[in-house]
Amino acid sequence: MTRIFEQPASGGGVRILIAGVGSYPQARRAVDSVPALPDISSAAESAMSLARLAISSWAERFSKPLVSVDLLVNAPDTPTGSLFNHPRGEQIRVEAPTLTALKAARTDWLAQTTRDDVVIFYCCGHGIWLPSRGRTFLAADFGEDDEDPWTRAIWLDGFALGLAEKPPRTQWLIFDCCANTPTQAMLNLATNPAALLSPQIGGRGRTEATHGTLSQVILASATVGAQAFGRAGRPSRFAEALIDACEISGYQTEYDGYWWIDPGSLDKSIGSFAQRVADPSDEPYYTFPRVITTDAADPPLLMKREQPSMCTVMVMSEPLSRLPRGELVIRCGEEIVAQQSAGLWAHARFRHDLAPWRYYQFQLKVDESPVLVDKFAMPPFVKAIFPKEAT
Amino acid sequence: MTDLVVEATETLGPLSVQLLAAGGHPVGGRHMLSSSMQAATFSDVEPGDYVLVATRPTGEALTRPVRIAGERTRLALTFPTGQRSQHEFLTEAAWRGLVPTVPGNTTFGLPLPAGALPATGSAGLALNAILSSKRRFRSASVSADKALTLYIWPGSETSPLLFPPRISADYLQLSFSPARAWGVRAVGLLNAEGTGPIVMIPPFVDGLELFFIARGAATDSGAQRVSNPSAARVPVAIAKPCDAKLADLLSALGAAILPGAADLWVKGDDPSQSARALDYLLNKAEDPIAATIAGLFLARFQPKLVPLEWVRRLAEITAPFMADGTVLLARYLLRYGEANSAAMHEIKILLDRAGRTSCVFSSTRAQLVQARRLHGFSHSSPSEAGERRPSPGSYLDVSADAGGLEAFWGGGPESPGRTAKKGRPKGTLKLLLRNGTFVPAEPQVGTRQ
Repeated sequence: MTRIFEQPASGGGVRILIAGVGSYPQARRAVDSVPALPDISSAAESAMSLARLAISSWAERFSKPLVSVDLLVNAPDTPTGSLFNHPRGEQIRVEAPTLTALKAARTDWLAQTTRDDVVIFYCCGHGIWLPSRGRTFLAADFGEDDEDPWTRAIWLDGFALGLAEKPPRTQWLIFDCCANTPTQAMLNLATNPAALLSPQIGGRGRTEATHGTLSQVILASATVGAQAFGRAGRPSRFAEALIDACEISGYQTEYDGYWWIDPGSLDKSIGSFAQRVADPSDEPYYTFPRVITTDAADPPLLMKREQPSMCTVMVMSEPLSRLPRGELVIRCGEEIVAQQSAGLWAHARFRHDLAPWRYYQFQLKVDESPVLVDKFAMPPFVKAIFPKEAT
Repeated sequence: MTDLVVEATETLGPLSVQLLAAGGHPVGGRHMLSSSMQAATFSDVEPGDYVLVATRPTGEALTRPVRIAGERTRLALTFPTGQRSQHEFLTEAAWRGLVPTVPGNTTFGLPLPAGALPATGSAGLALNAILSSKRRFRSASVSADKALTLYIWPGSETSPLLFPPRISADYLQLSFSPARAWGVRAVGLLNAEGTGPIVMIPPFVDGLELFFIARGAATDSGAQRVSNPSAARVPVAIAKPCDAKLADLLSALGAAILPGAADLWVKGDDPSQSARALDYLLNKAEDPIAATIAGLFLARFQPKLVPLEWVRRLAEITAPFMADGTVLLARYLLRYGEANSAAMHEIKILLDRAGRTSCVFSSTRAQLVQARRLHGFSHSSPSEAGERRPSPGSYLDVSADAGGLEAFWGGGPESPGRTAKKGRPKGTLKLLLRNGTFVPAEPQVGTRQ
């Protein structure tokens, strides 16, 4: 079973397909042209977390009513499929994301879709950038046939092109996997990954003539040549940042009485996660090259809520050691909204959440005369830096 | 109720402007300012305090408090980098946000202080990502003096430059004269082994300013993208077409997300003031480069606006000297062509032809490689004509960033990779690369700023 949520809606709705491959039981050792694929528990965790949030706290936030969620997951300890803890309390057994299961889920996902539907695809697991094809995502049965392994990989670039020819006019594709090329993969001359959906000559034009202009957004957790990472027992770092954006920090655009997430606000939220949320020691881990792009002249809206996101401010000084030696006061008008006293435990990088869309004054007093910096709190993140003192 | 008029100069480039009331509520929609639309009016605004947010295609945002009162309030936008650059010749690039106003250092030969970036926006971010890797940083900074030579292809008795190259510690400026003939040039900054960053130079009718970035040129260890931990393309140069409207379209073309993109091609009540990418495309015979940039822009953001016949004609005009028009046509046929074997055959011929010609815009290269993959061309195999030319994909493997122009690491315009090419034209200029800065190899007279 793949469907974990279903609720009919008229006038279009949000349909989500999530695949998390945490285990590749048939590719545990390298063979001639195929690298070994170690288990990645974070992939299962990412898929499960996103699915759970989508059908619970996010269900009412999407731009249209949530219609369906299909989930395919396997994990290192459940390679043939996993148990999904539904927010209602029951456990649902979901299939492993083998190529066959992915194709069946794709068919269900797109069945009877119309131009008014919004489709969201998320995949997490191993990915390889194949020189002859581009970005690929490896299904759970990758390695089943050593002699012809790439038929169990999904050609993501081709998938995006093929999906563009389907009726739903708003499409979000989220590829949470590596996009590098291991040496063994580089040796392959003729590869034939599955596109899941085959683009056709003129197909895009025919669909646009019938259904209208396409808004397709692509998010990838790694640029070409780069790897994606996750930690055991937690979602991938990209999924963590994505969840933060959809939960808290991405609601930056006001429209029609609500605050919305759009591609630009997603980019800002994910890009600032390392400084806003992560422990300072983890900043290098959460700093990674990502892709968020769309060719839509009017980028689509993903989710909404009634309150805008807060703005996290990071206060620093040049040199860094100066801030902990001084008294820091943050004011909005006459009101003091935060402060830090000098001392051994004072932070050199002071982080605080501020009500957004206001001007704040930052005052640092180390000796006699205070230094002032003004900043506008534009969500999700601003830096306030006290410059080096003139000598 | 009153009006707010926001003004910007054409030198600032495209700016998406929003007026926010207290609490961040947008007032009066979003406006796109550009070289052809230098003012926008927010009408019927309640008097009071607001914030104006102006966002560049790179995502960089400027916020300005605005107090609206009286019959009409006017606000002239400047960015913090709106002052003149310490390097006179970089002032316009600084206004556009391509380089910081204050350079990292001003003395030849001194290392740049940590954190000082010789570029801003996307180029600055990419360079920062690369240099932040300790391994890359070491290889870029510990090196001894490297001798570099500037080459311009094809060799010619007449220099295409308006005046001699200008060197500062961080940049090397090349001012290309307005083009008098349709032909693609290339410039390379090659080391003693005969390889280095190569940038393709299309024939801009109004000329082009190109700035090689010293730190980018020094980061040659990041040339092979798969070995670059950040996987970012090394920004080796910044390009600024002298026609401000084209500069707008080129920078907008490189944006990952461009809200209000439509305004850049149709905005303006007065037709004589409108940028109209379609107008550029219509006048393709007069200015094929402007038409190609407009075509690439429209193909991305509003492909159905463009008549296929226009693209076909553009491809015919540009095919003798560059692949970009041909690739654009193949892309249109792939999306909007008839589903028959004749179309399939035509696309295959176009892609084969394009593989044997130079791309001059980086987005074309990516499109060409993707389209060839769709049609079964191998990434690594040369074109079907059997010529001894590198495959289109091999340029991508060593691609660099030059503000939207095709750029890569190689030995010449047709030699991507680490192999030097024999038969280079005579060198135009010799200089040294020392600790990530440019140093003249011989005293400069009248060019240092």
